[in-house]
Amino acid sequence: MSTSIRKKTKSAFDQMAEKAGPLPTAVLAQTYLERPISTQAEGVARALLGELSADDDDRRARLARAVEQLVVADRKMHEAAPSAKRRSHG
Amino acid sequence: MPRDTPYGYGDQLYRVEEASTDIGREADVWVRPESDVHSWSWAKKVHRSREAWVLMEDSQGPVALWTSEKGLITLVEGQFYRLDHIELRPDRRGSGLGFLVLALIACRALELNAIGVVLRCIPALRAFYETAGGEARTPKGWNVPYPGMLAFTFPEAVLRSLKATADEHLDQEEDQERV
Repeated sequence: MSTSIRKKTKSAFDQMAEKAGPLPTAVLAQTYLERPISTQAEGVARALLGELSADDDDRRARLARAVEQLVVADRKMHEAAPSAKRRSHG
Repeated sequence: MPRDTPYGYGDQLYRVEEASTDIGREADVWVRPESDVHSWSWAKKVHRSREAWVLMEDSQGPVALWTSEKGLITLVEGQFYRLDHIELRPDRRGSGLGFLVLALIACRALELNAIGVVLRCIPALRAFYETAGGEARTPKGWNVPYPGMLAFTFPEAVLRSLKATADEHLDQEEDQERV
């Protein structure tokens, strides 16, 4: 059994957190933006169109939701970095 | 960056380890607020990056991950550690844990003899990185293809300062108990 007591004094990291204030996101850095999700959404949308002829309401609903989620994620990503259009190297 | 000695922060102990794709899968199902911009799979990031690290909280599993797809990159000023993706588990937001993770990244960069760390982030995180000692600038030779993103550079002196603060958190209790 440990007899020592962990220090309770305020750490420099605590002070930094107070100074920086609340963070808007848990994603601290994202050096490379991913391929625009709208591209992926387009692919999913095409798949959805292919499915529309199928008599399967549940599947159509699920695909529609997936497309919607992708579009929302895409919008959020580009709101965060409105000029981001491509990957780079370096 | 010690792998065996844990870091004590608050009432918890943390260990830094190389991340596996299984750890990445755990992070992929973290519950995130809708406002978070997160569009990648950690499992894939871990798989394809030169290096990926995780901060494990004793009995609580992964609480932060970071990757560097290339490790060191050579720029005009010298070799920099390129930080690509980093995320703190959303329910750990608001403490100084993010700064501890940043300090561990500084430790890793120094371990690789980098003269600095470079990264990009959304502008809303400016205060976080400036508070940690980062400079909102792009080192010469580094492309910035995303004008909406903010580039940050951490010079070597800042890395050493962050490492010194992290070292203060090294928990020696376990070692003492083993003696």
